[in-house]
Amino acid sequence: MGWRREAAPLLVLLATMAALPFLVGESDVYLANDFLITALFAMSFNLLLGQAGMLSFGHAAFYGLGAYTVALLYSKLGVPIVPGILAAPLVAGVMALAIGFFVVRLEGMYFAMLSLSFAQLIFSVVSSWYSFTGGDNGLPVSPPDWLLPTNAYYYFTLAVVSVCIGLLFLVRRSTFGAALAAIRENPQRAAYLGLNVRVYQLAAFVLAGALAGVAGSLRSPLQQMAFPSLLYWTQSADPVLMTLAGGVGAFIGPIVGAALFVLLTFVVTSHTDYPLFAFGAVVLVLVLFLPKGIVGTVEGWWDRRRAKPAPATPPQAAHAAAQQEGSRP
Amino acid sequence: MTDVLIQILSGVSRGMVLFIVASGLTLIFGVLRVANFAHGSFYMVAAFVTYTVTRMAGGGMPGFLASLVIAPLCVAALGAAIEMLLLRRIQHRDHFYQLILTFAITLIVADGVKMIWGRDYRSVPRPQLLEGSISIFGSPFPSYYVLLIVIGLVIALALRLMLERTRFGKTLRAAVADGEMVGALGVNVPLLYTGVFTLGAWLAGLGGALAAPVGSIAIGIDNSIIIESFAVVIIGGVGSVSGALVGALVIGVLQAIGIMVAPRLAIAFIFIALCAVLLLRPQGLLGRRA
Amino acid sequence: MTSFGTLTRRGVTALLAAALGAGAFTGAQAQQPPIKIGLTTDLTGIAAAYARGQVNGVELAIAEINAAGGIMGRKLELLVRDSQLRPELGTSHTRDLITREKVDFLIGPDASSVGVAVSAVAKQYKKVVVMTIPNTPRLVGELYHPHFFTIVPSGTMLARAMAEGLDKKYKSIAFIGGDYEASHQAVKYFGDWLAKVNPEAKITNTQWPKLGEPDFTPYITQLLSSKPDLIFSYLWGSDLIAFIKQAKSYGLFERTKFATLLFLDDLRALGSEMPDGILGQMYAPPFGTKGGKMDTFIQAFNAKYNAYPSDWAVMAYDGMMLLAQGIKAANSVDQEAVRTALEGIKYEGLQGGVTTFREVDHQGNVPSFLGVTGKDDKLPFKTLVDIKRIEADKVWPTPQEILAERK
Repeated sequence: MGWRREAAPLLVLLATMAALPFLVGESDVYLANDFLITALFAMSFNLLLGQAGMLSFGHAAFYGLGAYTVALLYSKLGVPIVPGILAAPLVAGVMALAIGFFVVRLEGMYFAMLSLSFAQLIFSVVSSWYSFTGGDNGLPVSPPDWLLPTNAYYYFTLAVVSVCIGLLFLVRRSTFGAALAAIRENPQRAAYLGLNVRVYQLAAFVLAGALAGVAGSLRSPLQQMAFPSLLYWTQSADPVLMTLAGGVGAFIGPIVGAALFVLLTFVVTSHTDYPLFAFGAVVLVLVLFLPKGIVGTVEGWWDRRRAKPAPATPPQAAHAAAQQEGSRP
Repeated sequence: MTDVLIQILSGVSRGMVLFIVASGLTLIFGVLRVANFAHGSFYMVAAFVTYTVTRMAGGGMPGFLASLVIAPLCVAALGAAIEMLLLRRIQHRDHFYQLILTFAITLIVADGVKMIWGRDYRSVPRPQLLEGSISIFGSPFPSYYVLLIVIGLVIALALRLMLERTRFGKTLRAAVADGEMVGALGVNVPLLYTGVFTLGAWLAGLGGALAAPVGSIAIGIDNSIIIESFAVVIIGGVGSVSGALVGALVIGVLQAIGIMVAPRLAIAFIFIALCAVLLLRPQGLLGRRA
Repeated sequence: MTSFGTLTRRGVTALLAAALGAGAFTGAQAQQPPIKIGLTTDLTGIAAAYARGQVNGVELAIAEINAAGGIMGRKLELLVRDSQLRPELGTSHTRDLITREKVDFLIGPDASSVGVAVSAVAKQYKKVVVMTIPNTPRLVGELYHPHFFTIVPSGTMLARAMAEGLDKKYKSIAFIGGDYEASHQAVKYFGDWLAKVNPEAKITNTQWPKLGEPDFTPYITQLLSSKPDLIFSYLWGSDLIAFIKQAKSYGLFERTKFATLLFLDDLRALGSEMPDGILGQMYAPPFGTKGGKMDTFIQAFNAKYNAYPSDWAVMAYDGMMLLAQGIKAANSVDQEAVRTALEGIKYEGLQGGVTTFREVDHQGNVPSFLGVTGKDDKLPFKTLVDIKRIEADKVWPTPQEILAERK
């Protein structure tokens, strides 16, 4: 059971997003485009946290590398945007392999801190190597004419993001995904069962990094530039917050979280002088009162409503419960 | 040669402020197992309170001393409130949630400071007595930095005595070594947690108040101090005050020497040191393996 | 600090209109839709103080224009968005201002990185944008487009003006600047110009602290150990303040001459702590221009915000007034008409002289100022004395240089 329940909202979402340009104005389509990219970034992160139980605090490094791959290929070698987007996951993936080789040796908070330090190292290289990367003022990218209209680039993004999320969906249901889940629940036991824990964790780290690279590569043509703040540590906090807001255990959790955050960022920076305050307050409320995230809470409520004598606990709920147990430091 | 010595000493004085801030962070990390992002906010709030206090007291030595007392206390009260009202509610959940909670606090405090003090950056004068410099082998070295080094050492000593001689200190050390055992022994864990968090916040506040007269007081100073403080905690070992001292001095001196040898790589030195420690000795230089 | 949320801002505009406009306007004029001006700027982050001054400057200009009956009988309406020093938000908000709010014109952002982002959007939607703070040379160089106008002295102009204005007696010069693009460019342009005007001078030592560095002591000892005649600093804002305070205890200002980029905000923050005798280079200090429109502006600004205006407020006010003059001259809100009007504009602004834009890069012929810090009895903070005004045509890159940069 379960896959229909997970796939159905995805298909509904896909249909809605496909119809969106016919329903709303250009600025909303642009916002939706922002949402799609952010959602992929958050989804790639949740492959680590939700599926493998690894809290990375340096995920923005791969996001930024993806963005810079497109921008550098374009501005240094004249490579068009689309091949650049294809190259981005390779570059981000190779870097994730190099960093992952070291970070998967550590656990818990140490893993989070080492991933944060590596990411800051890459950030300081990108932001200060100004002759190559353009430094803090970023590197411009000009999409070709056919991708310039808002709707055209929106559908392009929708296609790429759909493929990537589809891939994540398959990974989650594959034996590889099951192995990651086993490692998340109990690494020692997984090791006794003959799983090479580090290799699996490294593979997850590389895949997540590569997909974050795809998200980043879609970002720079949208903004028409790549810039170092994409790699800064506060950017790494974004997918963590979104995943938490949507729900760690639910597959579509990060998507919902991304939607909430993109809208929230947009609304609060448009209408208040104190956006961080509003943002922080929302996160605070989520942490204190909705620990399972929006999706997890709605699912729990839905399950209780269907007054059946609860069948098997759905995997999401079981996972959310596991997340709540005070785990090892 | 004197140049090198002065360079090292200025690295040490920088390390001392970092140590005072990071010692609070490492205690909180060690006992509550929370990577407290809000620690940088405590530092920033203390700097702004210092500004207000010094202005009200009219600058000079009385204002400086008053701010050294008042600013850390304000921040300690803020820390106690955060621990009792917010962190305690989720202390049985995964540490991930506590981390996010402290992150949310950094956002709220960042804009809160903007609401109270505005967007302009500020400056606090040093008392006349500490304006000048002393001479070390004929080279000037600012007297304020001598004060920083002295205060840093005093704090290190005081923390050490507190940890070894007092009941609170012993419980605290036991909690760092084994959190569950402390609970089983009938220690009042909520009180311990509040105490440690308040002490940690007070230390961050002291760091902020001490740094204010030599730095600028601006929104954003929370962001730069927190990453370096985390680096100190990791290098030194979570929960170890002596480790924090060593880590802070390593970073301070490494930075100062790095500027002499390879200026553009100075930032990278810290991260390289950090990565090296995490890989070779993940528990930190003076930390104990969990 | 008072909140100036969008609603408040609208409220203020409406109130002003109601108070001043009673009887002055006919009903038909009141029903005309407003001309919308979009301002994306960094009200959050390390450059927030500058953004505040900028928003105030634009607001003041708009209030005055509206009080005088608006343009073509239409009121001006300002829409402000906070880009938080994040270029991606700069892009999103600017696009949104254009596509959703249907703003007619854009006025410049704050940080150069956001300026680059805003300029790119203006280019795509062919919207006239007037920049009043960002000044990376890339804006007039490789990123130039015909709808872009700037009244900020570019990084190139400032660095050259500094080299131009320095006494020839300084031979050994040390440099310190934040490790980011603008200061790397600054030292390059400064060095190039120095080779022209003072060929014997050499840059003997360069220091690159990171932005937001809390502790400059290691850099200070390094600078002093090279025993320079003069230190050229490209530090600004809170970095400059921290540097000055720390350098004072090393006696740096007695041991060597110090020349630096300087903002009014820095003078205000340091107050009496600012040492005398520092060579300061400023964009558009209100005290740099005596009498005339500037005095009226300072009074009006003080009456409205209870503060002395910053460089940013001066340039923002001028930028808005100049744009308004362009719209009036075009007698339309058509982008091409206003663009053409701005290209031929002769604007008499706060700083005296006539502002025009040259064809090659739409760089306004704005001056910059060089002076020595000292006390002015009328102000509660230090100011510049012996002010030298350096005109744009002395230092701006030739059209050939600009074209060469664009390749």
